Amino acid sequence: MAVTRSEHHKFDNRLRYLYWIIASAHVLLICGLGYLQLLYGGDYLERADDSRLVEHLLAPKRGIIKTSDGIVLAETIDSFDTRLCYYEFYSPKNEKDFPNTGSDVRPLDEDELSAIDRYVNAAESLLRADKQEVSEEIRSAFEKMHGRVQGKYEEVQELRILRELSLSGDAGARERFIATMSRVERFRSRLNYFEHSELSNTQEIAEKIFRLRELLDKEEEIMSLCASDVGMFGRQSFLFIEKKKSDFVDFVKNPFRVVQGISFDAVISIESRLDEYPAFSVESTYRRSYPSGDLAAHVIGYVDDLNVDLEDEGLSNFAAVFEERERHGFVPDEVEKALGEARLRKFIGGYVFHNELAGMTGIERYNEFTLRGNWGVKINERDVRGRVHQNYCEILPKNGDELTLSIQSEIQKAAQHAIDGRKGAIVVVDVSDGRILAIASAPTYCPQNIVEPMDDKTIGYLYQNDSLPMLNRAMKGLYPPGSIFKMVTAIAALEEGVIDSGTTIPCSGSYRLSQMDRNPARCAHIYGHGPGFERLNLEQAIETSCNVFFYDVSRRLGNEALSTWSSMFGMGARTGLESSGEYSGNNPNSNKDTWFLGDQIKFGIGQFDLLVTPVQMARMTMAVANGGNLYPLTILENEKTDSVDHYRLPISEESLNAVKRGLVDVVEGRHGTANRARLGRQYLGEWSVAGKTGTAQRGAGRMNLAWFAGYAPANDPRIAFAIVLEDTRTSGGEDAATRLCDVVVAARRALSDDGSRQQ
Amino acid sequence: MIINNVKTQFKLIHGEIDYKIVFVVLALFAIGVTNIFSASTRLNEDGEYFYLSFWYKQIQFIALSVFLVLLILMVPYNHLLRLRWWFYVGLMAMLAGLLVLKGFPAVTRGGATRWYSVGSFLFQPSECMKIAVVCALASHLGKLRGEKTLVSLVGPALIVGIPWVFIALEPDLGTSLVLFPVTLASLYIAEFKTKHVLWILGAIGAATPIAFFFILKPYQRDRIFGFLNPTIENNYQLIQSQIAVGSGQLTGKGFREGTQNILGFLPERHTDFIFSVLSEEWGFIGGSLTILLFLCLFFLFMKNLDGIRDMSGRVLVIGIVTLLFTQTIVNIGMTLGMMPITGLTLPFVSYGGSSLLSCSIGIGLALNVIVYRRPRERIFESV
Repeated sequence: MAVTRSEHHKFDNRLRYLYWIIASAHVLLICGLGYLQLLYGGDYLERADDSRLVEHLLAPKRGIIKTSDGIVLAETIDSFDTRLCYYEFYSPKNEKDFPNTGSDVRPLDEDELSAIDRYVNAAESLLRADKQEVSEEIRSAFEKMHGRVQGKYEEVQELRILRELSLSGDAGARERFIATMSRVERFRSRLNYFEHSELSNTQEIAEKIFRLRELLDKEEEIMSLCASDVGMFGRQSFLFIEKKKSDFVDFVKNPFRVVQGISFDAVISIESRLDEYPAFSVESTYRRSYPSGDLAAHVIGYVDDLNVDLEDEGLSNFAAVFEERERHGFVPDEVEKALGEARLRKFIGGYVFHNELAGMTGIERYNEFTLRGNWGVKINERDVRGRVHQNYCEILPKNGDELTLSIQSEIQKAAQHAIDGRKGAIVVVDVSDGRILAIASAPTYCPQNIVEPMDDKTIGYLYQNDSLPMLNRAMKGLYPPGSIFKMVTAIAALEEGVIDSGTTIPCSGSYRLSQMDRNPARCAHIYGHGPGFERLNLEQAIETSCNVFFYDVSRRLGNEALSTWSSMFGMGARTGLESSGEYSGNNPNSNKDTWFLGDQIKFGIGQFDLLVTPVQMARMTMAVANGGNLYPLTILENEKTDSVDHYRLPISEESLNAVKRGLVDVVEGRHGTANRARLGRQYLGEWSVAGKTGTAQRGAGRMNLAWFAGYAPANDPRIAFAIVLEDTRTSGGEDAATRLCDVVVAARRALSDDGSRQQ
Repeated sequence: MIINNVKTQFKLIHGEIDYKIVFVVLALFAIGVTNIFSASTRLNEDGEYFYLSFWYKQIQFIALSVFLVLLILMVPYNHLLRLRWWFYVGLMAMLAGLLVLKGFPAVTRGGATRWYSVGSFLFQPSECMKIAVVCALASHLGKLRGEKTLVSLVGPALIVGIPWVFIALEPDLGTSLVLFPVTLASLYIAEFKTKHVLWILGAIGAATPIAFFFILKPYQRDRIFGFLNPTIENNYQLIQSQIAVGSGQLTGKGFREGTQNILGFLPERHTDFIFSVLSEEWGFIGGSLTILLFLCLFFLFMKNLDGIRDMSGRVLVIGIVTLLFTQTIVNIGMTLGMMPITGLTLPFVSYGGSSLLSCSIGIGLALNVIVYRRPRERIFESV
């Protein structure tokens, strides 16, 4: 029907409104599209990747540690673990829905929990040959897992409730939620860590700092927006809960270890029955093994679980983990790139540190980077049903490097035997380059006991023991050196010219600092070095270890010269074994405000504030033996010291020879403090020993220390050594020196073998 | 009779048709087939690709649709509208049959009985019912004379109301909701008083909460809850769709590279959620261009309304435009999380015979109005 003109005008008007409605609806759609794709596209891409990519870490094989004569001290062996998948325990009635929604993932109910019995029975029959009492192992692992699943499930539920509360206007709840969600603190502590890192001036770290600052700013902005804007809060909290949920689902689907170290036969029997027992799986892993028992246990150290349990801490300890990772260089750059920042966080948090072994002490710890190698990663793409679709990316692990120690196993064995049953330490070094040939601490332990599940007895021995078997006394034991320090005092006195080799000093058994001194310092022989020794020269003083002689020498030297010479011989400084975790001890500082004369003379005989480690003493003795070359000590075979001049101390040949004559007399002389130790020429022939005994006091109420530091052979030194024994009833000469014979014999055999081999 | 011979008729159509509309519709078809092809990629048990034949079937349906459109264009719409009651009553019978013939030949899926099985295809009467309602409405409103009072609302109310009840009983929330805007727009364009139209709008608004609590099925209620509060767990589809769309970012992941699509995270991806596939793989650029294409289509139709003096023709075009527009908005809005999830498909793009055929019939009718907009004599003069 025809329409009139005025009606047509009206029609146009109405049509115009429709134009507007349609246009604005489309504009709204485009805005919505832009909001999702342009504003939050990155977040959604991350979530898309989260749901489709599964990482498997490929463990590197840790490098072996062996002695210079090829005895393996630590190695990595293949091991098979049995795992269980918690997710497989859900009964089918709950699995009809979408598999990845998380809605069907919850702690198991009673019925489902009882299904573990079937698995326990199966495991008992399948693993009977391998292990006893598997059932308890499985049950406890399963219960632990169940507990954690419950905890995580409740955490998500609580977050959900908290979110509901926050959205309904509870300001406190909202604050709590934001505090849980915020990564500001984490970023800040990481930033702090990098800014205070020694490497902060490198380009790489500067870039990291820059990136972290950006992240921190962004996060701070988002969190403050969340606090003020309900819409923003709703969105962010939703994403946060979703992430928690998906982490939870991943956790539940990730098989957990129930039985460690099963045989290959058991692997086959389990794999063949996977249809029947789908929750079982077998994973091949590596285990650390220490085949040489307690040989050099303290030096090699041990590996243990990295104790950063992020599962429980909910990533709150991220900075610490990151630090740990940076220190060890856990994740190679390629992996970092492949994963991206956000996934890396998950990667570190969830997996690398979960069941992850790292060196805890000794070589294992301080050469972690060399030994560990680098992680590889395999990222699989999976479809909605969890089937693997393709390899998204695979970076193979790089196995750890082998480490050879300079230790000689025969000398090491003898050294360990020498101090066996006592508390103490022994160090043997090669005087020609400062390589450590043997280093032992007693009491000792077997690292193998630590990497295996421990029984109460082992725990009691290792950790609840006053004699501290885990302590590496050779590098970390701080002792007053006592009389063996007289070597330094003597050389200092000769070099400073306060005495010469002919100077004699009388000993009356005690030393008065002044006429009025009512509490004189005592000599070892309280009646004085009597008949035949009215006046002692330097050689005799060393031979008899006369305190009075050295009191007087110290007094003449002055504290400044003493302190300088002491530090020249390496007191108060690490010996070059930084990479093995040694302590530096204490050298009394000449700038100290109050130097009493009494302190000074005590310093001269190695008491007072002077604290040294056995390795420092071995190094000092090495310098005396080899003509004044204070090489840094090395324990790794490939770290040999080359430049000789650099380490030369300014000591004249004559002074050294004067002291050395004294040291020979200690062993061979009639009055020598070690003459009963049977280390002289008549016992050891060419490899006779020269050295100095020491019996150091450790203060009131504590038993003395027995020291012996020396070198062999006496006329052409090849090894230098220091031995210390705690809680001695006698003296250094009787207690420490007598134990050295076997060590010297072993060294002679090993080194002459070595020499013939080299020829 | 108007129908001379087919050749003359084609000449006439060629002279009168707006080729821009044809181009836009063909472009949408192409977009549809492309994305259905991508969305019909599946993985087998070994993790290898295989393709379902959806895209091929869709091309067959498109051919059928084009044929239908040409067929419709042969006869002027006012002649066609005479057949409206046949269609209307026939489809009503089929809708009623759905309630009775549950099991066979009516097919029930997901708790809703909406389909008849026809050979290997499923026929959804409500899709065609929408067009029949628009035709009946157009014809009725075109004939209304004089002042439009409240009494004149009775006719349209019956025409829309009866099928609405049957569709809502299937239940098919989406389709039944689409009828509201169509009716309102038709009444508005047919010069009903603005105030009356607003009253109806108000009444619908007031009835919504009642319907929500007493008429909706629990799963429908959950969907709406899920839309309002996305932490509820039944929103899997919505979340996956949002992830798909969002992760497409500006340029998209590329044709058949969409991970949400290929790996099956996206549900219903070749039908209801085809737009998610599109925006995941073609990004913001592809998504917004498609939206603009729809906008062009609607504007082109409305622009062509200028030359139409016949009220029934106008109402027919506006009814169909509103129908397609509402479906578009609801479908795309649903994939973006701006609308609750309903079973509405995206016109011309989603896979599905019934949907494609009904949209094409709609387009054919609207084009028909444009082709035959001028008085008959003048058309013949120009030929």
